[in-house]
Amino acid sequence: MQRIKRTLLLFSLAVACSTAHATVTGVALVHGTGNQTNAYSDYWQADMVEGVRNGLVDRNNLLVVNCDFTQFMWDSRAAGCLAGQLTSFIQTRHLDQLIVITHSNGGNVMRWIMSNPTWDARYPNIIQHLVKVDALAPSSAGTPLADAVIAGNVFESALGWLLGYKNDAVRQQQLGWMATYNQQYLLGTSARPALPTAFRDVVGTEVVSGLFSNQAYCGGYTNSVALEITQNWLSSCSDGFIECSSASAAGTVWFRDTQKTGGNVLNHNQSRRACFGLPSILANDIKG
Amino acid sequence: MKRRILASALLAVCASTTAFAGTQVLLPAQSTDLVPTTLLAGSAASVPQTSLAAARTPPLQMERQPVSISWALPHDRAIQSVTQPFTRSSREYWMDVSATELQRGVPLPLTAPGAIIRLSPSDPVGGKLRSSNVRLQLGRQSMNLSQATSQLTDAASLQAAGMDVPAASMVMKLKPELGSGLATLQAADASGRYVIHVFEPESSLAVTAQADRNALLLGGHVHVQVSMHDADKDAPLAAVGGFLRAPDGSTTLLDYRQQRDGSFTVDAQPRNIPSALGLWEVHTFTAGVDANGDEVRRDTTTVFSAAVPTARLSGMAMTSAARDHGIDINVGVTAQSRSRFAISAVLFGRDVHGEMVPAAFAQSAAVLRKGDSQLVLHYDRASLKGVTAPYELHDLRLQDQPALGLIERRALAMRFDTP
Repeated sequence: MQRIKRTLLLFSLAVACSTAHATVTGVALVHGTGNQTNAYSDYWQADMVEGVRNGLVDRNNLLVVNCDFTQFMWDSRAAGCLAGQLTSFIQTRHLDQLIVITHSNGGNVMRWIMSNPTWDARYPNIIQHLVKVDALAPSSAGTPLADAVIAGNVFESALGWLLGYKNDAVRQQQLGWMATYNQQYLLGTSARPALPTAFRDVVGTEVVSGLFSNQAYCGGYTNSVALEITQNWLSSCSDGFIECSSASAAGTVWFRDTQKTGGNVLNHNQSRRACFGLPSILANDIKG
Repeated sequence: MKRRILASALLAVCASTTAFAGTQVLLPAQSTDLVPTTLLAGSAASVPQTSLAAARTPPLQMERQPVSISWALPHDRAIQSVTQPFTRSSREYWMDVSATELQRGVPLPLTAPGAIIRLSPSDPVGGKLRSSNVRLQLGRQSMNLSQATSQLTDAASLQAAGMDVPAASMVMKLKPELGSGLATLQAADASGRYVIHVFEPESSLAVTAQADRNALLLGGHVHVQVSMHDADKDAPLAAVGGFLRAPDGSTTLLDYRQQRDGSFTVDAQPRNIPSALGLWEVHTFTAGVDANGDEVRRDTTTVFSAAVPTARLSGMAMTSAARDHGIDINVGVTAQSRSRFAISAVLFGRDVHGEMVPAAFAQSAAVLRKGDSQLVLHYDRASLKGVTAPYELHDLRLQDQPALGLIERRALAMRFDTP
């Protein structure tokens, strides 16, 4: 009798193993401020995307999102567009779980979806599939650079001018605006309810633009020089666009650049480029 | 963090199980709560008539399906249910100048070495400036920009860095050894209009504008106190002006009143709520003097939200054991006009140590007609793991979703023992 039971058990396990399928994981790359139509080339570039793809069992399960993130985060062309592309990705690739990698303001748009799941009936399904968000240099508490640009615009508003650079995504990233939205509509910051899924920050801490520094050249030397200049508006710990306090304001800090990049810093441009092993760090994290 | 999510169209609007139901009256509102006193009908614009699927690219689309969701919260993470207005010290100011003024020379008071000055065209015909034609005078020194600056960059570089400045902008950082005082910025080839932005990161003189709230309902006002500080000492302001900017860009001049302590105050009150979504801003422009009697200029912006009170919590709620052995809380809502409303709240329970801790967050939304309705917060069984009665409902919020309006907020709304 005991032998029969054991045989049945082994048979059951064999059947279970043959019918069980491996978890299907997909990765979506979500860009920052801007209206993207070819984020693969224009925002991330091939080395970064293909490096991240190395973390996937099925290399086809990678989506590069293209949306209009010049809009407010809740806008149908921003969060609505993102929700549409993520929903379609989950369905067509039959995903069991989704990992989202965001850069800069893309983190705010993703956090809008995670914080306001009743806003759109597609949001809960995305959240159910979401296992984590890796937020590269997220502007979770805004940036003083947005204030610097928009605040001067009050003169044009008063005069009835509407300049070509009127951009709601920049307006939204002013410090006071993000502070208000963090308290009223977004979750995951200090003293607010936690997000439904892990939101892990990658924090850039410095800009290096010295002519003789190898760090300055990855992602483009001129970008590094420009970020050194914008750093004048920011606190001593920043990636040239986002202060460390903003990048770590929501969710939990996964790592500060130098902790995993062999001591190299990631300026705001480099945190979306194949610099200092970043694609491998992300790919290894996807592999778990 | 353990995650439990329930998304159900059926759960959002009443009609839930009422077995073991208990009727609850919401606790009295606290002074820091946001509570409508009278209700107003929302604008037609806040309730789009197109369906989500049919609409193409309007800026905002209203979901039609009821949606409900909840998830567990970490018990050890404190939640602050009373919100604090954001305040930031300003060490910067902006000026709008004409080409004539810039050709003649614009005086810029500087209180500290190392100022950063941005010069941007502010109209469509704003002229491109050649940096070689821009000069700066400070004290007895008159210099071109290569002599005056330690850093100088153009619009293309700034835009590449992500700073969305207009074309033909330039940014300069003055050499620290030039010191401070009254500078004059001059551009011989100026045409059109320009914005000059002066930022003094090394200055000890800063202005703050402290608001008493960050959210209000139409009919209410925000009280703002504007004060200047020199390091940790108060410094007097000579003059303060400003305006209230609505989300649609319209502006209203504000009348600031000087206080005995040298600060100024103003009450900013929206007269109507435009259909454009976004936040309201109080733009404050100040002038003062430092300890040496030199002019100090600072501008600052205060941000708040304003909403039409299109609905309110009725004050009644009903708790019941849910079919999945979780907790349902039917919250009464009285609406003045049809819209999609959302409620959310954090359920606290007693942990194994006897402490009240946050257990789960729930949110529920549905389109409600004018009159009395209910929305159901559903906390599933798994999200209540580790906590028992008594329970408390914290941070209860009511939002008019299409208007992006926060219309009621209660820091502590309910206490109950059994569902």
